[in-house]
Amino acid sequence: MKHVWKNQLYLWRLCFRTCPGFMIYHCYDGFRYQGIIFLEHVLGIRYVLRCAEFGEPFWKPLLVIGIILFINMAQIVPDGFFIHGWTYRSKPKLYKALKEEMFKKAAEIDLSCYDDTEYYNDFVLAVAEAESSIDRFLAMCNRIVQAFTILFTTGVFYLLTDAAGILFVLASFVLRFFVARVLNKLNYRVRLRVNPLERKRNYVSRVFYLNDYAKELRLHPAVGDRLEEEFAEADDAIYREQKKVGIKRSLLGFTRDYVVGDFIMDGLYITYLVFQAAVLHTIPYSDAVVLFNRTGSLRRGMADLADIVPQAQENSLYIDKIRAFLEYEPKIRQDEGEAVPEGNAAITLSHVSFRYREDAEDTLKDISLSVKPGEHVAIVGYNGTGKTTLIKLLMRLYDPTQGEIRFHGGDIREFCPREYRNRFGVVFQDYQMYGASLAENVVMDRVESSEQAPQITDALKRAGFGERLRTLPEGLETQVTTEFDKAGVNFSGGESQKIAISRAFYKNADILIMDEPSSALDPIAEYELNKAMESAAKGKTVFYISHRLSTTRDADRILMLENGRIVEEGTHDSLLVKNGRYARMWHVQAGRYEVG
Amino acid sequence: MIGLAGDEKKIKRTRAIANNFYAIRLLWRICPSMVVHKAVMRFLGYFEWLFYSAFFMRHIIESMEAGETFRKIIVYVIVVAVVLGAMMLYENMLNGAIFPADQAIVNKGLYRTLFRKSRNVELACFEDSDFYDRYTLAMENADTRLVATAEALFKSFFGAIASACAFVFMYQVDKISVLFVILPVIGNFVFNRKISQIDYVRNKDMAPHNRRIAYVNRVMYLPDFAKEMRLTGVFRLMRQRYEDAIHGVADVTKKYTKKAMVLHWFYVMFTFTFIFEGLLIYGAYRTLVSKSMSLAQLSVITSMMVSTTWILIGFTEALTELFKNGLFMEYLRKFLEYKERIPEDSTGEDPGTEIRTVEFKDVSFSYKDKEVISHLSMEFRGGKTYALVGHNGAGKTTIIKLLLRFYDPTEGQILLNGRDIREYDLRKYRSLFATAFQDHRMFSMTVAENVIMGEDIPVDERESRVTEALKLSGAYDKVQTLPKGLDTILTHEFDDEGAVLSGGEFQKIVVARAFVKECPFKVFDEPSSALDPIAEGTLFDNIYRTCEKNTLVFISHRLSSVQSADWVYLLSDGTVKEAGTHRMLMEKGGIYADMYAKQAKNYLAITEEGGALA
Repeated sequence: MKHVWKNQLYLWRLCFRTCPGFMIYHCYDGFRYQGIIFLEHVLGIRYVLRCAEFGEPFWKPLLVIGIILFINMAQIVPDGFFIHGWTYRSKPKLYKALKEEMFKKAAEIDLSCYDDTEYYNDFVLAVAEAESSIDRFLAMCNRIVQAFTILFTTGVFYLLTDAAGILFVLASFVLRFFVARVLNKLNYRVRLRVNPLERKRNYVSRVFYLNDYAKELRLHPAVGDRLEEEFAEADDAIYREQKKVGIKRSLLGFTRDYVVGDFIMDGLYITYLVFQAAVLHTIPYSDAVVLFNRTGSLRRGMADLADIVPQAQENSLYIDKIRAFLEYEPKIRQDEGEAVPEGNAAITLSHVSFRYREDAEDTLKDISLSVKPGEHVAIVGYNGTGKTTLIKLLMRLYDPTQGEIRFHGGDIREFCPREYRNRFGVVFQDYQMYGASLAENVVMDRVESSEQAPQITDALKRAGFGERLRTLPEGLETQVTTEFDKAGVNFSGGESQKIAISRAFYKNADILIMDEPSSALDPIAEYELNKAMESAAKGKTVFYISHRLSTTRDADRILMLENGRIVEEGTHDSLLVKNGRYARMWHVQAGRYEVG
Repeated sequence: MIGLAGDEKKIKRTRAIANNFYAIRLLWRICPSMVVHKAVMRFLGYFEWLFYSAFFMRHIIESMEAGETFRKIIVYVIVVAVVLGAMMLYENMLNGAIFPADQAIVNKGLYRTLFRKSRNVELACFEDSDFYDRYTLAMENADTRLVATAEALFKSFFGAIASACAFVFMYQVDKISVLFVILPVIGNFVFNRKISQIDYVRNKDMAPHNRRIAYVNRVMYLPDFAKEMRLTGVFRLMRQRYEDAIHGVADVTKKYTKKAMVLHWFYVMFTFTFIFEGLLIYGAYRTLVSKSMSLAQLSVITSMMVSTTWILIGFTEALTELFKNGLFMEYLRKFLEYKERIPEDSTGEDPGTEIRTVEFKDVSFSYKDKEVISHLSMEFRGGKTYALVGHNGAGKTTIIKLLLRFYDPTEGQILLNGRDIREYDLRKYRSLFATAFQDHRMFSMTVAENVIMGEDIPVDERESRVTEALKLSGAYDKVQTLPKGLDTILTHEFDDEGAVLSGGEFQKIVVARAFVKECPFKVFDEPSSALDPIAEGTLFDNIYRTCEKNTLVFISHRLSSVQSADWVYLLSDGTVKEAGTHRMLMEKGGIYADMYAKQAKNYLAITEEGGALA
């Protein structure tokens, strides 16, 4: 429980630091709202009724109501600003305060965190819930103040007028609380049984409405029939579950709402009031009316206060996820470490092994390798033999489980990762396009001045994008993706790939890494790319992964990977002479061209 | 989603109201009990509300003032409590038993209709973003929203009656007091409407900024972006975007704050303050000065003014909801009433089981007003092997889609055995083909089921046939390492233990689907793009070997695999530029020969030496 409140306090501090004035007014708003209701509906009405009952002079109610009217007219002025200006402006700021921290962390955590499903799910949940946990927290603050205002004002009114009413309300509240608990447990059990059925239902809906599956369903209508059946079965099962508990749930609901609710108040309490007013004459009629009318609000106040605990608990679960995420200490800290010496240098791997998880098998086994500056290295092998993993280790997206990688003679773990990674120009298989200008998509950073334009254009041209660039009316300022610009351009797979390649060219890094850059290209485009690569790669160290062996044969050295080991190593010619695994692979692919 | 915000204005009010009645009719067909009970419940709700604020307390105070016996009053209280108890029991029966069960019936009935429709519309609908956006809006929580629509309609109907009753009751108590009710009417219908208009415009102005925020959010947590976030400065770029969007939101807010504040003041004053304070002073005057109102009447007026105001607010809200629901129902209705251009269940001639020829005759096809296929003629003869090659975007996949009748040509015709394919029964026609597309989709079913895909294969042959197909596509070794082999569920959509394979493995399973199906015509769309050289080589050997008796069409960027085809079509700009055998095209020295030479150059140069060395 202490933990739950600590979490709320954490959010309070964050919000208060960001928008102190707004937070104070937000709490005041709860007091203001209930205060005005009390003023009008309890004090105002009671006073008028009293005056009527006891024949007071007219100026008295006129004055009191006039004062209430005046207070009302004044307090609503800041309320309008609060609702229509302040809230709209402050909420995004509060969201941002929390999310900025999360974003910073997201860019900083180790890449291996993304492979850890549990951690990643928590991370996604934390990001997704950041805004709503602030919303929930704000709503809760407001409700707490409201509940206390009701309990204080109306409570004091009852105590002063006729304290017995509180007993009725309290009795109803306590009994209701216990019945509600039984009912909630029942509902929870139903939920548990219905949830997997709903999940199945949602899955089937998704298959039918996502356009991804539309083609498959038309090719294989039998699968559609089967999914429809499963959907109907899930609904029938839900129907049976709901029927099973129907009577019990209805009776419990009736007990909660009526037997210990309305019956106590509208039956018993009213009898008590009539008895007091008409028989004993201990309460004036006017008070009886107001007392009766206020029971609802007093009951609501108590219920709200009781609800705050479970609400705080629920919100605390999400805050836990957010805090756990923010408190994660990355193993690779991006801005710490020694400066990387200028210029290109040899990269040496000695006895490097790597596994993605403790309990997994080694993806890379005992790799030793030394690459001279300016050397062109091709990495080939079957699907899933660790080629991409090797590249990731080189760039220090992961640290080796065993062994070390050296650059400029030093262990790369000693260098500042950001600076070290900046020495690489990379094209991954799974590159992304961003909702930003074309120039920014090449530079992959903010583009502040037009001075960079010539280099950007040059990089695009070298990647084979020059012709397409000329057809774009907005040129480098073209918005990429239609994400939020209707005039934006969604480039085709081949075009996007060229933009991704131009990123590596623009960077002018010492080391180029190409991970199957040509997989989506047609033969002509592939040919052009290879020619561009040749000129761009002069004097640079290059690592090249490809299934198209024609593109890798001119490499200074070819590494053949199998099951995480380097099984063959050498130039194309020497490997052919060796007549081993590489030679076999080559002949399978090249042999098919011989016939022609 | 862009542009949908404008829809609200586009549909007429009368149409919106009509749509609400459409919803009631639809719901009535699926589950009449839901309609009846929702209506009765609404009615009782208002009845109870009016009774308590207008009669209950008034009667008690009048009885007390009239000096009735305590017993008589208590009998009244008990009778009311019993009647109310019966109503509450009914309401709880509805909420606890009837509605939850009915909801399952509504869900089942409505979604069956929706699914049938979505399976029957042509594929182009899914690719038309306007249609698709509206369609997804129609599908999302359609069952609960349909019920909510019916509820809102009853709420406005009985709300209108309740408002009228409230007027009458107040009129009975005091004729002039009714005049005060005009105040909340003005507050709601004049000022609150203006505020909603501002809210609407402000939301519209904010939407681009909010979209940006949502986008940055997505980029920050999706693993697809994680690597680039660490390797480049794109993080700074995204943060800048976020910052800009926050400022954008603040600027938009500022633009409307003053006007909204003024309207808010008048709204609250008219809706609540003036009527409350005004009636209290008026009541006090009538009781104290002109002495023409009793205490009971005064107390009724005070409680009536509160409930009348809230009934009015509820009524306005119901009306707004009515129009909002009208828009949602418009999506649903348009979708259900959509006239399919190529209905999946279209009947016609039985195409038989033999394919002699498939012919494209001067076919043109435009996609979103852009011509993708232009005056294309080509022929596929039964039992032969064809390769489609060409640049990215030359229209190869579109040809396959036309062949399968996912689209119909804009001009020209496609003939099967000399007859326009539009004349055949569509399902029977399509069952002549087995197709492996590039974009692989796995269903949350077992591996075996994902290969069979509902094809009619005798149970005792299934395992051997699936095994065979997986071996041919090269996925078998991987499938064997899965915990339950062929019976392993794929994807963890609803099985957390489900297996997720790499893109290359999924591609092989899709290819296996085409192997397992027995039919005269097989189509493979770049089956090997993600495969390593050995796997690629084996796959093409298997395709050629097993499809000897079939008509075979495949698309490939690997021209080495094209050589053994009986006929090659080279496509460019949506039409056939060159056609012939590999040898013919090489001799011709055109586009194909150039493409081939460029790809083969590096291989051929060396095989001469390699051959010498070996």
